[in-house]
Amino acid sequence: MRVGQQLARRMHENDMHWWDAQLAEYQPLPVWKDFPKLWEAEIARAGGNAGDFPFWLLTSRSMQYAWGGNVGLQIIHEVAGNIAGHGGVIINAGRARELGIADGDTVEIATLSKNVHAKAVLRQGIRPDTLLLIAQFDHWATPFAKDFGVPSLNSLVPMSLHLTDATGSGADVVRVALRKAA
Amino acid sequence: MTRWAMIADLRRCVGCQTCTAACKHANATPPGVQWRRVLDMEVGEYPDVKRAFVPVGCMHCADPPCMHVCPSTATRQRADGIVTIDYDLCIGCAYCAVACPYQARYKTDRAEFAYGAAPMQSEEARFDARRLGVATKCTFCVERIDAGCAQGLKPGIDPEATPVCVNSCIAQALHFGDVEDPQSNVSQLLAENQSFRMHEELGTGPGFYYLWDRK
Amino acid sequence: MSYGPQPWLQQHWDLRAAANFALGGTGAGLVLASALAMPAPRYALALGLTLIACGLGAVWLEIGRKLRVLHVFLNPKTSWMARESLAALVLFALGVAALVRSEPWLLGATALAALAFVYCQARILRASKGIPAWRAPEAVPLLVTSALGEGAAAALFFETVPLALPLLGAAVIARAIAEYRYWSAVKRLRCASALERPRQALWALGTVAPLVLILGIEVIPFAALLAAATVIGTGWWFKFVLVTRAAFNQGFALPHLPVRGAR
Repeated sequence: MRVGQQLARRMHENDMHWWDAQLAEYQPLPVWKDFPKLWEAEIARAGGNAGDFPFWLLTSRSMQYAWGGNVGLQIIHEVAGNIAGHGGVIINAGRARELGIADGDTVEIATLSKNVHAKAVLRQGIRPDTLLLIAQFDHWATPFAKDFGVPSLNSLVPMSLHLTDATGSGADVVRVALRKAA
Repeated sequence: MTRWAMIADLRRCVGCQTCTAACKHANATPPGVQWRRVLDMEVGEYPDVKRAFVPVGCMHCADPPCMHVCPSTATRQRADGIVTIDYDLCIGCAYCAVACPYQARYKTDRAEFAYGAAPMQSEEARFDARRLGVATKCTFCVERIDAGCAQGLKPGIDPEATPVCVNSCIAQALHFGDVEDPQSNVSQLLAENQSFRMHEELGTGPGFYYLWDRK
Repeated sequence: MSYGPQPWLQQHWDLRAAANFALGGTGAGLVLASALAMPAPRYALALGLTLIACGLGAVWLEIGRKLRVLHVFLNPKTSWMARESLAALVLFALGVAALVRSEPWLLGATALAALAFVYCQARILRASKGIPAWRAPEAVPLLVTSALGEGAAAALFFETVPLALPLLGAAVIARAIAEYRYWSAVKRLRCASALERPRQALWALGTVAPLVLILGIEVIPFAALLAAATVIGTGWWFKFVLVTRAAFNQGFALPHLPVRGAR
């Protein structure tokens, strides 16, 4: 803000007004758009209640698996096991305790139309309203990886033009419900 | 006198497990056995959480509890500090494994392979029956050190004479050298940085230092 | 199997190793009790030696290279396991000799060897720096007194000689005191929850009950046998849990966290 104002003043003091159109366009910060509303509106459009799906499910790339070309290698599966989250869904430990979920419990992650099961991995370094599925595994048919039993966000993301941006992509974010599996 | 030691710079380690995999590959350890591995440690409670990646393995202690408890003298300590296991003497009692405060020792009773009952070609080629039913652990790649020294190479400086994990580290977090040489790479790192050793209060005198800050 | 950073239960020593401490302790205690309390302890002595042999046989089943078992004698200089094996060897030699010729000095020497054997067993655990529940110094008197109590209890199955009951009573009290001291040392450790029920049993069934039974031996039917069973049972259960369920390692700890950012 200050930089834009200062530039305007210095120019006007020197009687230069030929940059005024650009000055008017100047945005110190992008205008905030209500992105969460996009996802909540999508749930409503599908006939659901946003409050029933309080968690933001994210995905992340695993350093050990990267693009997943090495999913068939047992050694990678073994060493990746040393880094938290490879075996299931990462949940904030405090939030999980509130929901009666212990480390290693099978949980159900659900949208309105689909659900997956995963093992709970309790961690401190995640927000209580956020879940994280690292893996890209359930779309692989390769002999070794298909038996990992680790779901991916891919099976839960809805295909919707409303969640598609100007580049033709959608963000890897889904609003989900979480509960301990029976 | 020489004393070989390893340094892990906790500020640089990214937890990639390249050292874990490199060690397994170089030493052909069976599934589940990780002589070198990197822990993913969280400290604190949300939202004040910190995460650190911590390489661990045999600390090659100055006063190794494993050596004292070993009933067969299979576990010994060389003059240069490296703690070794003679696979032919070991009876596989696992006393050393429960005596080690760093959980660094493994024992595999049956031959196990990556993809089930049948070994891959590489596993078949590297299979060593002498290592079944006995204690195994990180050796500081002692064969590489000895071979390298014999050729006049410097462990920790020349890669052929250096443990494989140190060579493989993508972040240059691992270092190896002679702590008794004040001019060595490890001595200089210890002089310039604050460090600690794991479970120092147990009096084992580990040969593995963790750097955490500049001095 | 997760290898940290949280502590985990050791997987190396299982029921077979626990059996060595249980059977070996009771057997050695029985050898001691029979040497001290009985006029002609042939059968008791033989059973004691057999129990020790069974315990050692059980732990032999656990080692990875069974045919190399003789290597176990190679390091008595520092290893309590090597010393335990040597003590066992001496104990068997003396014990068999005592079975053949029941002379007092031979019985006395056998009793000393039995004591040395059970002391070595206890020191085996104490030297295990990797397991906080084992390396507590208070574990040694607990294991030794338990062995003495279990042995005296086992002696009751043979004959209730005047010395056996006071021996059992004293050992049981000593064991309770030792357990109290041990518990004070480990109650804040991870192993505590696993040890809760065995220690309650050791106090109620393994200390109070046998003392009551001993005091009421004239009036309570089968009092001696019941007391013996509870003392041995609670001792064995405690050792089993100590070796297999309470044997957490100490995991890993960072006294300092790495300082992030450029400095």
